[in-house]
Amino acid sequence: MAKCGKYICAQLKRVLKVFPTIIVTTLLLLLSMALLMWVVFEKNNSSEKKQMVQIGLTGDLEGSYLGIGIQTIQNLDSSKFAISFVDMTEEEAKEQLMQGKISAYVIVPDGFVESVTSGENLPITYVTSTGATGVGSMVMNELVDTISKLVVESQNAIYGTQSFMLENGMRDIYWDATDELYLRIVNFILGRTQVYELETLGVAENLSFIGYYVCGILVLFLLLWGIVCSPLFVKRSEALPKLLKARGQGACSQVLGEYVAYVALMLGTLLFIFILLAVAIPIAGVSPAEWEGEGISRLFLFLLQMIPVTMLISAMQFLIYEVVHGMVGSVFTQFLLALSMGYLSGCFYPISFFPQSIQALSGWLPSGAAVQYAGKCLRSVSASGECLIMAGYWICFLALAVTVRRHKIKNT
Amino acid sequence: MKIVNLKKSYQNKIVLKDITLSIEAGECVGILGSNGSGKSTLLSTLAGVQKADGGTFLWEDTDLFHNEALRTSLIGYVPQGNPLLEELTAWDNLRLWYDKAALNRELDEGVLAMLGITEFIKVPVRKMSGGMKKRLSIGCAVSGSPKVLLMDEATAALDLVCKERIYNYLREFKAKGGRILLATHDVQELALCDKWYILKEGVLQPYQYDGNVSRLVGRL
Repeated sequence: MAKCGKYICAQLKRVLKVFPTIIVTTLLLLLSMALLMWVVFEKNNSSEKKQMVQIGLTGDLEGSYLGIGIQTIQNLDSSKFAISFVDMTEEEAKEQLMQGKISAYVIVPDGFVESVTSGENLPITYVTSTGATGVGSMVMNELVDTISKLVVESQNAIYGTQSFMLENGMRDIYWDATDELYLRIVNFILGRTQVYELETLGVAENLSFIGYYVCGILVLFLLLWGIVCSPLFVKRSEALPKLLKARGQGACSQVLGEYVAYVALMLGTLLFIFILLAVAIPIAGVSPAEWEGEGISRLFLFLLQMIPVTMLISAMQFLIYEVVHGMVGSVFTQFLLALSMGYLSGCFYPISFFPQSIQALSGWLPSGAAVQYAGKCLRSVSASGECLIMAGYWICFLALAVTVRRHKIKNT
Repeated sequence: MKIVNLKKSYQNKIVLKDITLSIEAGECVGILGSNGSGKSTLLSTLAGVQKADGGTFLWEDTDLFHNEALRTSLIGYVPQGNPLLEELTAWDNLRLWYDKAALNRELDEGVLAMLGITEFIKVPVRKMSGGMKKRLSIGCAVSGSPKVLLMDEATAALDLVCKERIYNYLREFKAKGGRILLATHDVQELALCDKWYILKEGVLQPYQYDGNVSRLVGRL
């Protein structure tokens, strides 16, 4: 036991020697990630105006009713940030549509308003391009179709009522009743200020979007950190395990000593990142919805809850370094494994985007279980199932690492 | 110290066939053999790194194969390569094997002083020369004052000054009644030995080395 303690101390000293280098690497990586995120957010904000659907208006726009209608759409809360109408000639509209500057244009035929009031119903032509395949254009096409149907059906109802009144001797109330019907339709449509209700579901089991990515990025970070720690593993002496064994310290004790030091290094790095987050979150004003109203202590509670995840991923990386020889081979394996496991565990895209079979597989992967465990910790719900899966993998990884070490001591 | 009918095989390949030899106090035995002849396997089996398939390793009447505590206290094993932690200094590496008091004592006037480790005690291993690393490796291996030294090509690829320092230590070790079993290819190391054996196809045969290298090569 004393021998094992001495070996752990020696390994911790090694870890302390490389810790500053790892912290600098972490800092550089975090800075570049923060810069990248800032650029993405800034780009999104500045292009908000460009994301409005631009519709060209051509033809007979003289009618006062039409003017009121356009003004209404442009000022309605639900549409003023989404649709913008631009007056132009048909030639200009065609040119701008081909250049992609507008999503569509509308040709209002001469005498359109009069035709509507007399029941002739001249059609408005809505012109779009096959090149305009964005979501905005698709929604607009659907909207035009829906409104056309709505207007036509409403007109049919009004004309039917008018015929009914004429056939049943109600000429005295004919005009008043027609006006009231039109007013009711206008009131009915314009009065629906809340035409739709937007509800955003959580990306995974009601976890907020930011919350999900906090878990995903954290696990991906831990997976990738195996590469940064490669100097600790690839510069190991092959003679040392033999001398340790000759001194009565077997494979189990050796693996334990090295693993404890490695976990300490990973936890140290994680603590450093959480300290940075504790400083950055109040400044940036962005945090997962799950932490709303809770102090910075919640962040550090989450760090403590991440200890099992760190232990699991460290054990997996330890095993890889034990199995694969050489700097290039082990780093390449770590990198490929981190990317593939991160992808399948939903670290890049929410796992709910994947087919059912991959979602099912993800939950049984070590990293997948880790992401789900982190999500449940974030939501403060029990994660006993994930804990069991993680514990199973952890034992397997360490047992395999001991077996490989034993084999290496005997056969190299 | 006696080794009797020691057997070792890897899967179906027999590496050591009934190896029997004895080493008296103050004696150095050299094991010669071509690469892959089983010299390293013999030494690592005696050191307890690998398990023997059969035979006994007797210290007085105790079989060291079945008494790990006694074996680890009696035997100092210097494996091929350097059993060192590259990031740490010589001091930190030695602390893995020595208590602080014992380490200071050995650095002042003991074996570590004799090996000249005091000169580079604060130097990280990664900045050391091959000779410094080998001396430090021997220093680590001989902690706890062993009575038997098993050395696997300990002075390979070292310069003459460094070799001489190690030989001086080995002579001193012998003079104090220590037993040494050397696996070597080095002619200078052979001159240190009192008995020689050739290990060929798993069989250990006595050999009388007379300085004639051509004759020796012919036997290997």
